Amino acid sequence: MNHSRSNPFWREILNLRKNAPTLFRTVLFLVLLEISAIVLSPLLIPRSRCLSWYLSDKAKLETRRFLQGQSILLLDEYTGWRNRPDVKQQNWIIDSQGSRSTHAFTTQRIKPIRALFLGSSTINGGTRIRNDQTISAFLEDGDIEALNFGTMMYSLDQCLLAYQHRLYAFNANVIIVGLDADPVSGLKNHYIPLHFPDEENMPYLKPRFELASNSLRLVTVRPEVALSTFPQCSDLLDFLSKNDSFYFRFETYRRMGLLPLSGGLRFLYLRTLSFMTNFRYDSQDERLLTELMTEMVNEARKRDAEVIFLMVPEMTTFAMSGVHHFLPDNYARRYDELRSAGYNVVDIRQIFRDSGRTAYELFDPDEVHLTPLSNQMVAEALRPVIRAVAKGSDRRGK
Amino acid sequence: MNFSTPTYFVFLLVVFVAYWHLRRPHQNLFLLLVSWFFYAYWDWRFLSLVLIATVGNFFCGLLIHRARDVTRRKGWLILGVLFNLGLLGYFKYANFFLDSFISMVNVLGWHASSVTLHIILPVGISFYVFQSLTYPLDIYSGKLNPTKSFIEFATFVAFFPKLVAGPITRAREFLFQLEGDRVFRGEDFQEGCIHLLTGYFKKAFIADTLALNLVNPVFADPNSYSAATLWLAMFGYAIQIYADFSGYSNMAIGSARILGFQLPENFLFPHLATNFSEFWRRWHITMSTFFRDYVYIPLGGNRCAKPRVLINLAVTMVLCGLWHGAAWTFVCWGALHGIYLMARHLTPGMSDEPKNGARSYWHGALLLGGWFITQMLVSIAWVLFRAKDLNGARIFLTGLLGTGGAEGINVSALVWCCFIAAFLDHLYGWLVQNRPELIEKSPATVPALFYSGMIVFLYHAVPGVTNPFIYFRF
Repeated sequence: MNHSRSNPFWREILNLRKNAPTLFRTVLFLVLLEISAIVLSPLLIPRSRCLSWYLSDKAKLETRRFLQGQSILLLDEYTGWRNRPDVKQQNWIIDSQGSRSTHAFTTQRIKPIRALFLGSSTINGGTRIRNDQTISAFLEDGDIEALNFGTMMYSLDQCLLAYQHRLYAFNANVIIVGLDADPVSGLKNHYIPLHFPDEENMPYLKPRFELASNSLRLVTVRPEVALSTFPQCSDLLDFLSKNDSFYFRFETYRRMGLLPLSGGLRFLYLRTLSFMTNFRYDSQDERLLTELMTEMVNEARKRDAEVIFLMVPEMTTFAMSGVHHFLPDNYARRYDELRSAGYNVVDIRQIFRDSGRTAYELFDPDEVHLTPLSNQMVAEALRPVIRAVAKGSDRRGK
Repeated sequence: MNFSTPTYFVFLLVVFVAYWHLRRPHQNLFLLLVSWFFYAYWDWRFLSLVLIATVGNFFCGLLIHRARDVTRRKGWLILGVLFNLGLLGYFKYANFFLDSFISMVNVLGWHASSVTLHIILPVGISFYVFQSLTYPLDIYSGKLNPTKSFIEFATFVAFFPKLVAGPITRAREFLFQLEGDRVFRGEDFQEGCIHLLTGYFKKAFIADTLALNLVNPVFADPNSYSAATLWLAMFGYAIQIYADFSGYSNMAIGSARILGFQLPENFLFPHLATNFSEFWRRWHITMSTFFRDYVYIPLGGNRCAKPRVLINLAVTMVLCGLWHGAAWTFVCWGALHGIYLMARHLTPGMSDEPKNGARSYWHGALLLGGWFITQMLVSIAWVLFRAKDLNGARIFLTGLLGTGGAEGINVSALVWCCFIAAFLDHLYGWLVQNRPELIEKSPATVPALFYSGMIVFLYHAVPGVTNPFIYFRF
């Protein structure tokens, strides 16, 4: 401290009150305002008003469009949302069945193997590639027919519900389910803006499962009811405070998100928390994942189908460069555990690493979605696995 | 590294703390290295161009100074000017002149196929070449002695706050600051922070909000919009470009100030100007004085016959337009301002301050009329500056007369806030000029309340999308 005081720089900085009175008072006013806001805003500002501020204008508009049936996604009573049939937007073409497949199909299988793809936009290809550049499209050959029902932002619970209630009808004998780089956190979330605050195109609500005395219990939520008075949604916020693991993000916003200094602290806090998840491998959360995977396998086997789980990395999970190099490799740990538990799991990261390609060749600039080249590589690696699994399924069917 | 991004603020903070902990002999070297890093952050390949400009002008200055006779001095100066203009000409204008030549040849009936040189425009080349050029010019005119330290000269050329978009700082205004000792002062820090805040407010809120919600959509398709919408977008662009560039200048001045350097002011509330000469004394001051001192006055300036003065004005303003960009829209914009200044030259006394200091209603009306005409015509000229080509400008300008579509634009409350903020900015400027006692007597609490309100407002109102500064292209 003595050293600091002897340096003219620190001497001046510590005397800002005298030497820079305007600056000093600006900071003082801001700090006083911030402290008042942290203490008073939860008492004075209604939660639903805060929700309205928490969501961007675009998110509010998209919510209304979705509820009025004007979005490219439809409200779905089981899964929260699903693809709207017959939608064409540049690369993005959804057929009359609500799938992103490359050919017309009915419930009748037309080839020996019908593979049904479930998962998020990493599975359906995302908006930047054409339908014929998806994994399912590259997979099609004389024996294999692929139906792509990947849906934006779907997590495993929604895949299971979609299959249980609608998609079983397509009589697929192989079900391919995509597991994103973090397949667990989405399972603990109902309201997307709490999990992904920047996601303003899909501010939707989804059901989720929870573990109750060693069994799965479905916690449903009806978006059309919960959001009927949007953005005045006190009941929904009550519900989320008890059931959504990401509700704390909204609560921190109420206290610390309204002004810049506390907003900065909140940002740092959330970033730190997000970073710390790299060190947390919660066995309870993993159990929820494996229970759902088991449920998915059982559901498929009831219909003589087999399930293959595709573990899809993001660019950071793939490259593990920079600071990620020193972090625990949860992806590898999860893969090993799922594999030893007997699930059919395909490790796409290993396929990519074996290819010797760079991350920029394999991943879209958003660092999440795959390029057409990657999709082709995945399809080629998947083909023999599907044939082997389909044989097993046929034997059981007979 | 865009000034309005978090990356820049982190960079500045690190530089600021490290710089003030270094001893004097190392400070310049440190500034030079971080400035080169700042430039290389865009494209490291073009750092070589900054180095070439630095080495070329450093030795040119020495050779001019050491030359024994006037002829040699002149010879080295001409070589130095050609060297700088050659750099600028090749990287900025080669394609423009080639395209224009081929178009002209085709118009004359000969056939010439189009040739395009694949030249990337290095960021800020117009600024750092002009700044470097002041060094041999000032040495030649005896206003400056060459520096012996290459590091000091290189730091002058590359100093990151002014490197890519000015203010165009002359060697004689800056080099002496690099020679002296530097002491960190609280007042400088305060002034710097206020400049940074106001600059960021102008850029990130006023300029980006107007661009996103009004100017860009209307200029993208002027055919579809009604005359009223086009007028609004035209005034919106006048505010946007002012907020964008003066915001950048404020941030540059603020960044330099917290490091203990003084850069020249670049804007003086140009929308208060009541005639065109005054407009150019308030708008991009460092560029207009550069053209005045190094082009207009050497051409003869005001000290010749009236027709020659008019020609000097026209030539200077066309060159000024061309300096902004290699396109006919900029040439026409400069030429139009040349015509405005010629008209002003032919009507002296209009909207000037009364010589005896007495103000009358008649004089007030003249000032108001002068202000209205000046601002209106300046705004119309900005259409040429903003349009992507001359045809786009024509469509927009005829649309102002009601020949376009009928579509309106949903003007959000934030857009109106931008207009109000620009008005308040100029009201402050008017008070500084006309009622300085009001500003001087106000206690530190008043601006402090204002600045803290500004920070809170910025936190909520800044659009998520950051546009690059308009003048980065030049």
